[in-house]
Amino acid sequence: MQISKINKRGELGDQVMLIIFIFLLVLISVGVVSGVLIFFGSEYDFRAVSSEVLNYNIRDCLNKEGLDSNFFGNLYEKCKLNENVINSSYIIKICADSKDCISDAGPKFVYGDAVQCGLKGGIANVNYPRCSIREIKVDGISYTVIVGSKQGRRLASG
Amino acid sequence: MKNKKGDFGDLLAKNLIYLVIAVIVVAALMMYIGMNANGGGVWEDFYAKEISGKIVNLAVVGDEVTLNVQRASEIALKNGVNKDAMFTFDNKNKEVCVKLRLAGSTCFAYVKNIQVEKCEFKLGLAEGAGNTITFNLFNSDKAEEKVTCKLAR
Repeated sequence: MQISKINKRGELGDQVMLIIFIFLLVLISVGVVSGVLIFFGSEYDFRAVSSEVLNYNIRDCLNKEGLDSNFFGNLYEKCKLNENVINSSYIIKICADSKDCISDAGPKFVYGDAVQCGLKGGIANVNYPRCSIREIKVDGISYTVIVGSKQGRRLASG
Repeated sequence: MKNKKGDFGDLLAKNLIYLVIAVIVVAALMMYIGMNANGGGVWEDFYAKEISGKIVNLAVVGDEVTLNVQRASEIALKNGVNKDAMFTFDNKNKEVCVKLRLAGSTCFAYVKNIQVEKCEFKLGLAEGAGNTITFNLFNSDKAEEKVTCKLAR
């Protein structure tokens, strides 16, 4: 009777050891996977460059296309810009002869909330868009072009 | 002596399950680290953004672009990716997809309404020459939906 009790205790001990062993392996695996993900997983932050490039494209278009009465109404078409990508990831605001374009209530063109580009806290916060604010003079009028980018990569399965 | 051998055999038999689990887990971890160690995902992200953001977005209709992709092709070939599947331009969704690892690819959209045609991947056979891709940019409704940079033969 006593012997069988001892054996049972022994078997239980073995199983407990197996659980602890698996737990340790899981702990090590999680550590290794987390390390790899932290080291290789973060995205190459291209938002500042992409906002500058779009800003350049818009200014170049303002300069070359000529400002007719319907220019800002057909901005995407005139400047050959991809509306779907811009609407999903960008902020655009264009003002004419404005001292403070970010809070200007009567811009020539606006898409998205350009106030995010004026927040000082946004510079340090990675969740805020990266912005580019540039000016260009066309036909004697000074245009301020604000572009904010939130564009990230798309991971595809194939 | 016999007892000692018997003890070792018993010990091995009792701990076999631990050994098998440990070997499986270590092998899986080594494979996972090996797949990520050459930075395939990081370089995919880099190439997709640089090609889309700095080349296609600043290109003009009629341009022919030749780009050195030596580093990308080295990683892709090491990871067993098909030479004809590394760079793909999606004219419908306006994005470039880069595939440098077997599991997945990274895509980045361009803001310009422009199409890509005739993309070729060329091996740099001359000494010091790197592998390149060459593609043309144009504006047409007749563009293929997807243009893959195929190995020039």
